[in-house]
Amino acid sequence: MTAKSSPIGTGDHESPGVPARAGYGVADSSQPGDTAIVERLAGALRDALVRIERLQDDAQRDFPRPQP
Amino acid sequence: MHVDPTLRQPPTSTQAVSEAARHIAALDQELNAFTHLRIEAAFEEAAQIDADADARGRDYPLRGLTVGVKDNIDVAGTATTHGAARPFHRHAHLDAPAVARLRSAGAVVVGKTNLHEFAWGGTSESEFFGATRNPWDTRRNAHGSSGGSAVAVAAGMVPVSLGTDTGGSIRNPAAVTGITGHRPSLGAIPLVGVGPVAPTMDTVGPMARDVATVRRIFQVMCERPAAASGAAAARKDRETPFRILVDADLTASGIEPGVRTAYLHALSTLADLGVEVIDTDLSNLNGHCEAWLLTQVMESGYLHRDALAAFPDDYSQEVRVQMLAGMALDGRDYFHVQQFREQLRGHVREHLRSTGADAIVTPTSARIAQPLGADPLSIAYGRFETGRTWANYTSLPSALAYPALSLPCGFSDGLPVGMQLIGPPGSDLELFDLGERIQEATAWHLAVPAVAPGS
Repeated sequence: MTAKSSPIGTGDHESPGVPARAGYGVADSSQPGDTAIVERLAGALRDALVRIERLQDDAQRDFPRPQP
Repeated sequence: MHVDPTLRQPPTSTQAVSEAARHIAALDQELNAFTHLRIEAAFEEAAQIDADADARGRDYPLRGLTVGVKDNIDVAGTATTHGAARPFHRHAHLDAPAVARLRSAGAVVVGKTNLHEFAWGGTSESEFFGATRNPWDTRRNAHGSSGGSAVAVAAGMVPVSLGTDTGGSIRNPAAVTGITGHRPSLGAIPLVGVGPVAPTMDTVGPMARDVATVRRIFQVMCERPAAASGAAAARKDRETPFRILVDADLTASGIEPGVRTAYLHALSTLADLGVEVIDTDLSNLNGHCEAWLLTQVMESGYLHRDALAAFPDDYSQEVRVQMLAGMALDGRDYFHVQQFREQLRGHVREHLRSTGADAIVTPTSARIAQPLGADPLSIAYGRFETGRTWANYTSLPSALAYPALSLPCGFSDGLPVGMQLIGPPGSDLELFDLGERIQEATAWHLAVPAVAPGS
């Protein structure tokens, strides 16, 4: 078996890591048929972020910022 | 429903392994709880333990217990597969500390248990290892991700399993298979040698039929067992009644009616036992499910980013798209969510302080076990699209990074229902005390499916 690099960090308890890549993300990693699903899920996640923002305490929203 | 009142433990390790091997041979072809068996090695280890104990007087507190270990936890000499494609499998040269401590205490590992791919999902229907079937109804799954560990215990193949829990992966399968599952306090049990999902929420913990066994296993695996047992002794002597917080509105929607009925009946039983049940407004904890899911997709997306970019076709589409969706968010989003999680912790601390309560109690899963073939994406994201998800309640302690204990609390349509006890960090032993109080007076945890030995 050819061992691929893994993010999981087990085996001998030392993560072999993976070769560094210049970039990663949706464009690099998605496969045919993924795009519509990823967009749907990412939309649900963004909606969730908005809901959290609405639920945040006023005190946290009004955290003082330095004056320009 | 069949009841096994014995919860007995064989006197020798060899007998325990022999029983486990027999039950696994009879049941696992259909249930598919295990990804890998190590029966021959288990017999050799058991013989050594028995010889050490009988001839040399060595004390093995867990002698007579066999264990199934979720296949994202290292057991020396076996591959750790993570329930993923073959290129991700790794041969483990060392036990994870959680496993090493159990084995040092005389427990014998008989095999690795099936899971949802990378512990990232709630069905335990693996594209690579097949579906784990629920012994209460083999047309249904065992939820997940520690489905194999739950089924191995529920079907009586082993008395103890180890699982991992990020968003409910121990508690949810425990609930829908009628066993007890413990998500420990973060840091109580080391995570070395355990595949990460989302490190700010990841835990490894025990699954067994009853709280007493879960307590024994936890105390062996715990970083500070001496302190844990001392605290346990102190709490056992308490004379004040347990006080729990519940929120009727929290279970008014997004939960199956049969699950809600069983849960409410269990609450009334607790009240009859002298537990003080306080109905309170926990609405300022809304958003916990969103905080859990956002944290999980962003942290796991980060962990897998390079492998996902290099080898995307080695992931199932279901797992890949969730990680990709998480990678579409950025560091500001992540910080925002972590700030919100701290706000939730503040609210819970205040609820517990102002009421003097020991725990918050909720249902564990909003649903009974789901039919095989359920869409895992709709399960994970159902909260946002239909108002229902398997993680409605388990996500609360996950988002808080709190410990929790799931106990059987009744049945709906003949299938098990669980309740969840949530306490502040470090309250594991108090949760066990409450759980044992419940199980001393009830029989839900003694029910076993018809396929189980002794039923």
